[in-house]
Amino acid sequence: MEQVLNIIFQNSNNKESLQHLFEFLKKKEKIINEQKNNLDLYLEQLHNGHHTLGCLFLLAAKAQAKNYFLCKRLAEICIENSVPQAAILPLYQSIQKLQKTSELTPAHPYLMLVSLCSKNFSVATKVLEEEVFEIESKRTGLNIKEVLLYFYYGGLIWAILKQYDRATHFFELNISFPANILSRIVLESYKKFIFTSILSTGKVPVLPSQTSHVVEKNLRQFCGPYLKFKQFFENSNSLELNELVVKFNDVFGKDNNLGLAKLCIQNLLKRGIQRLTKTYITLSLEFVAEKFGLGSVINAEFYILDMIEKGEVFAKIDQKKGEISFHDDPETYQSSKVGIRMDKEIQEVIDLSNQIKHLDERIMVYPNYIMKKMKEDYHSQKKSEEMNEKKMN
Amino acid sequence: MSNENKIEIEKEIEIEMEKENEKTIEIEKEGSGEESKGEEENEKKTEKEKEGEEKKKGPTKEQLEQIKKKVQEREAANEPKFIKGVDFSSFDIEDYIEGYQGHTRMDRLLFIAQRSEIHQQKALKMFIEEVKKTRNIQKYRKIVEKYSDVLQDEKGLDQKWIDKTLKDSASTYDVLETNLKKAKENVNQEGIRDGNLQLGHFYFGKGDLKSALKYYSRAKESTNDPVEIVNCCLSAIKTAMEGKSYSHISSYLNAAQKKSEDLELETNGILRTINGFLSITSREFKTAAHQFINAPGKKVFEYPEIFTSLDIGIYGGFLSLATFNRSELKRNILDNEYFKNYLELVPEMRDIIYNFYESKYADFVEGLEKIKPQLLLDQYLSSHVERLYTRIREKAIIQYFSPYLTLDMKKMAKDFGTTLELIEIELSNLIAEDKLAGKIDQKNKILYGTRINKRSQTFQEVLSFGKDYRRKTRALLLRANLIQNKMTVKRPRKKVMMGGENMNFMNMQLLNLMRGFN
Repeated sequence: MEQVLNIIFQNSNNKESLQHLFEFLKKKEKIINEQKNNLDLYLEQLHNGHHTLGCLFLLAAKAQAKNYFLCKRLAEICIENSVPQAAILPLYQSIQKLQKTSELTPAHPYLMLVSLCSKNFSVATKVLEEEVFEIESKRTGLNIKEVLLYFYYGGLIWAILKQYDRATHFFELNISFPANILSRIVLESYKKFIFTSILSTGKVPVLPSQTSHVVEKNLRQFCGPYLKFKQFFENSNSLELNELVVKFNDVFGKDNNLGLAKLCIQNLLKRGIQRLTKTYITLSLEFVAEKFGLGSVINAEFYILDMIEKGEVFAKIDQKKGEISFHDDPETYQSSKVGIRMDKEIQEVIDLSNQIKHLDERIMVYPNYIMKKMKEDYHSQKKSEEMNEKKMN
Repeated sequence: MSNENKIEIEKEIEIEMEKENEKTIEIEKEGSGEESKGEEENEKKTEKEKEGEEKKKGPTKEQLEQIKKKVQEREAANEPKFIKGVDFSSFDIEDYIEGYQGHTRMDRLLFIAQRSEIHQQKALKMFIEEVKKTRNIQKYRKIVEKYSDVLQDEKGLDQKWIDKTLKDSASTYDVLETNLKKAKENVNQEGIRDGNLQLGHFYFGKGDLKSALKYYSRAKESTNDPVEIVNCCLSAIKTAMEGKSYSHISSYLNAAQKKSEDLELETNGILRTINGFLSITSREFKTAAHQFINAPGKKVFEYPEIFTSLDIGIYGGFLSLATFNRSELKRNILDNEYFKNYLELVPEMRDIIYNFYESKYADFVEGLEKIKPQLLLDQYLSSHVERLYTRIREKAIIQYFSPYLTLDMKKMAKDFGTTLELIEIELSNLIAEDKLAGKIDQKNKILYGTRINKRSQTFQEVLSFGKDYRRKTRALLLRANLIQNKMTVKRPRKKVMMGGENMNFMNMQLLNLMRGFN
């Protein structure tokens, strides 16, 4: 760092050397960035007027680290003063300006938090749509709590927007992050995970294999009523499920999950009817009313009509005869829409595989990795030599 | 109650008392572990301590009675009950029991007596005849006393027989013991083996299965002749089968099969059937089917003290009907020369299989129902009959529907001997379990075969797979980045700051930044 300062002093005088200085400073950007805490000291040494270029670089470095702290304070202040929506646009802009491609910044969770408080999701959805997976904690000052919060708030937003598939994915990410202890955020994510996965696919999938053991063990301990709910749902017994929700009303209520629980119970009926489409081509409304305990034929008709309108089932109701006839999904995958969609998705996959290639190349040149590999090769060579010696003897 | 029974019950009471004692120790531990938070809690604690002390002193009269009750309840629960809802009148005991010899006659007759109400009296009488041929006084006593109200003629214990048998066993035992001692003194290998074997048979006849096994294993170890070893193993297996000790059966079976692997012994057949029997007990029905079909091979099958050749036909045929698909059925049964001979011994089973293969469903279902009573009364097969019957029926339904695009459900119900409602329930269950590809038209009572649109299915699969892949890859990249940046969910570092407050990691960072601001 001292070197850098000296060179700034030397070269700030004439115009030609400024060019050199610029290039030099660019190279040394990393070093400058690491000196975050002491930047003030150095700034004092440089005089603003003479050493503008140097000052510029140092100030830029200082700004980067502070920016995200600014975001957090902004969010907190706005929430405290009950105007969370005021923070939305500035946070969004800061993300756009400061973010490298697909990068998760500390501003993300605060944007989500502010959107939730103000119940205004249009901006948040745009950010959520973009898949983030890059992280540079040194540059951005991101910590794990903010990562967890981002996915938790993001999952909540998706669930509110009824995109249960995406919500489940976000909660699942939270659960499977590397961990030594169980965090409260992960616990709450798991509880919501159970509900959203039921709402999107009708069953709760097994946790991914990367989930840390600590998390798995402790989750079971703390989520008793939720696991029971999952079990009862799998047994497709809506009466028992209702009783369970009533019994654990306060538990679910405390975690603000009552709404989700009730939605799941409604979902049970839908799943039942969807299963029927698999086995029957025509069905009497009476049969449906009886099988699902809907009370009257009129209720059954109402439910199925609702499902048809939402596109959850493909059927026609013959009201006079009191019958339903199911038909197959009319989607034939022959339109140009499908073609465009396939193209887009193929492109995404190609981009992804490029990213993986880059990551691979980065790892291959990483000094730690090379050292490890060399050690391994050395050991395995030694072993094969010993084996050969033994064979010969 | 007889002395032996009393000893049994006292033993049980001892075990129960031990358990109660363990419980009291646990309660005491809990009592002492609790922290007394208030006066009430204190009182509770002392109460529990008092109870614990009382229990330690000894079980009270009430507790003894409670334990006795528990033992009785447990015995009652394990009691074999009559099979209801099946007409056993077509079953002829004497025909059935004719082929068997030895102890298995006794066991099978007892099984029949306990399961079929019609045959109970006759079976019990025949059982008593058989049991008197052995020296098993305990069993005789137990059964006569248990069923004394059913047996009208032979109500009382035949004390003469009991006394005679006691004397007889005592004297035989002396003779056998001296023989064995002599053989040991003279180091006569043959004699030792024979002596041990005879003692094993003696205890087997007496009903003391543990000692029998002991002597049989000694006999087995004292010889190197493979034929003799296999013989000893077979006797041990017979004993273990009577005692229902499956681990012993399989260990002796392994030993016997190892020895007789390369040699073409006559006993190979029975060993394979016992293998099949073990597979049945572990519910591997397909393996069992193969084992029974291949059991006899080219040799004649002869070991009526466990299974007869009829059994091979029945077991092999029935199990393969439940587990083989059409081509397997053809290959292993219809084209199998050796097994065909055994199948011919049980013409009903043969007819059922042929009818199934030739799609004559009405005859098939009828034959299947006819043979049910016989299978239910077979000691080893009985508990699996219902399950296998359901399987066979499912297979028949699936085969019945396979050539059709649309099928009238009324005709199907008639062919399978059920009503329209029942067949609809069966079909919907099969479809829901993905075993039948079809859809029910409830209005017209027609079953439609589904033509799966492979093209849309492929599209759907591809799109969902693509989405899944993208998600998982991004999640992995995120994870890789997290690890690279050394971010894991961990306990926040607590550091003491000036002012003595504990602050966590986040606040530390904040402080640093704030200092930077100023």
